[in-house]
Amino acid sequence: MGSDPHGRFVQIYEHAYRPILGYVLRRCEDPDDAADVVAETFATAWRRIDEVPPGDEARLWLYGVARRALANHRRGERRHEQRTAALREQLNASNALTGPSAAEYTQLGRAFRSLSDDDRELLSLVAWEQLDTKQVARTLGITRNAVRVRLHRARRRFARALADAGIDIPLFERTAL
Amino acid sequence: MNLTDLARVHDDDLGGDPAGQASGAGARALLDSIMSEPPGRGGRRWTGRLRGPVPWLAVAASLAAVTALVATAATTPDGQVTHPTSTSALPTAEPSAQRILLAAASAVLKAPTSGAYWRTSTISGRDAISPDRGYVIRRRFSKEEWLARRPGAQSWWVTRYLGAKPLTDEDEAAWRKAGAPTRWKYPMNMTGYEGVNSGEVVRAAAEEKVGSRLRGKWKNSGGSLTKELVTWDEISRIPSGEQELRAYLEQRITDRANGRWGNDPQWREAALQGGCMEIVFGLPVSPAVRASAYRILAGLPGMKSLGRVTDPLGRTGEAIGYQVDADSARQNVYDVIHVIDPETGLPLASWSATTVELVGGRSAKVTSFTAYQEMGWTDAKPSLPARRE
Repeated sequence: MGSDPHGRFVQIYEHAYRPILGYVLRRCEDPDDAADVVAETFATAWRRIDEVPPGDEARLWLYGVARRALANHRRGERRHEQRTAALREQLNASNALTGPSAAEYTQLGRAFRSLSDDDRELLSLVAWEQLDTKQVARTLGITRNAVRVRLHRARRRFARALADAGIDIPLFERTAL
Repeated sequence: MNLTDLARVHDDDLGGDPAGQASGAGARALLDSIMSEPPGRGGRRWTGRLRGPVPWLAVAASLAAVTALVATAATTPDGQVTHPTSTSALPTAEPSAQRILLAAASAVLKAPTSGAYWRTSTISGRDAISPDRGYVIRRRFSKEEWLARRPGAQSWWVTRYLGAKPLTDEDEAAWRKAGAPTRWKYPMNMTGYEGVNSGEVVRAAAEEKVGSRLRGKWKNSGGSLTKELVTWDEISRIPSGEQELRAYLEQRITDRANGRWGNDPQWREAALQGGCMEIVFGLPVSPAVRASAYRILAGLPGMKSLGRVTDPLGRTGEAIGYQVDADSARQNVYDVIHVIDPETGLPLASWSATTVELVGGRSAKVTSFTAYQEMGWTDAKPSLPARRE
């Protein structure tokens, strides 16, 4: 597949760079760590360029890689390599990232954070990455039906967490999901 | 306020931010750095189906190539696991053995957990010095193991001898000089040889695939633990908590030692490591059990990070390893190396290597390896060859 890996990788990078950066920044507190994870994600794609699927599927594939890179990174040490120096500088100066996220201080955020990692990831892929069930299925490597079932359960558990926090569920359901 | 508002930043916000531009300084520097290395050659398919653990301490293998590795890979009661004198020379950027194992532990938590068969496909190789000690030949074997989950269903091995040939160009030149033999007969006294059994005849030609029914204790077994075949029921009872798992393994180790050598701390440590290896790379346990076994392994002394290496099939991964001292059974120090794919938590290969002296003062590296090609639960059926054993 792909006789010119360099050209292909540049294409993939240009298409997926912002979504992947966004994905990682939404799940990683520290911008320096986020830069490491973004670097690791694309380095993995380069190492496996023959396996990266064509078209927009590449983005979904990269979400999966980023998810694993994040999971590994949280347990690891910071690397803060030279290759991310410029990106880290930009992220630390970014206007888009100033202030704590609403997930930190709101009741809604607390209820959301009380969910399991799997539930949170599922709901986030829909709400933040705006994926449909088919895309979520591709990203997680499970069937669409499994996505529907798990999503249903995750929403139910989230509704319960909201109820525990005293948040109006019907209103929330109308606006959020 | 809704869930979307909980996102710290949206992709649209990044569109107006220098950091969010693929053409920006940060993104370009990263791209250039990544592409300054050669692209990977791929090799592992990206399918959830194939994710899963691997037996390399598997099971009592009939294939000598597999058992050779098993014997050196830390489960041997007599083998001593040496502790490297220092790992502090490693730069901090190198992932530690502990980090790799912990990363792998979190990756395997996502592996699929059911199917009709627990299937593992491997290619293994075993190097041997020629009987005249002039060169090294490598024998290669393939093996598929199909362990049936349904009670009473038949489990299978499908094995094939892939043939033998000189390993390197230098070996090939020496082999030609010796008359290019296609058959090597070994003496009964094997002092100074590696990788073959005494009196064995090694042939260059590959053979047909052979299907073997697994019988006896293999019935309803999903593999071995502390060197005994265990039933699916027993496997399902292996505790998942790290402390509980350690206690469970310690008890099995004590039972197995039967009072004879069970108090030797070195033996116990080697046995504990061996049990963890069987779980991590062999048994169809739940992801939680596997993750706990990883964590125990990560906490053992002696595991050393070796960084990124290429395995015998040309794939790259993160390696950990340790040394096995020479002892009465073997004359040389062995390096035992396990390569793990840090992205998936899947092991890629495992090998042991040592250096041997050939005639004429040449020294050569000989290796026994097992490389994992496919592993995990499957609903596929084994394609059985006509030849049976």
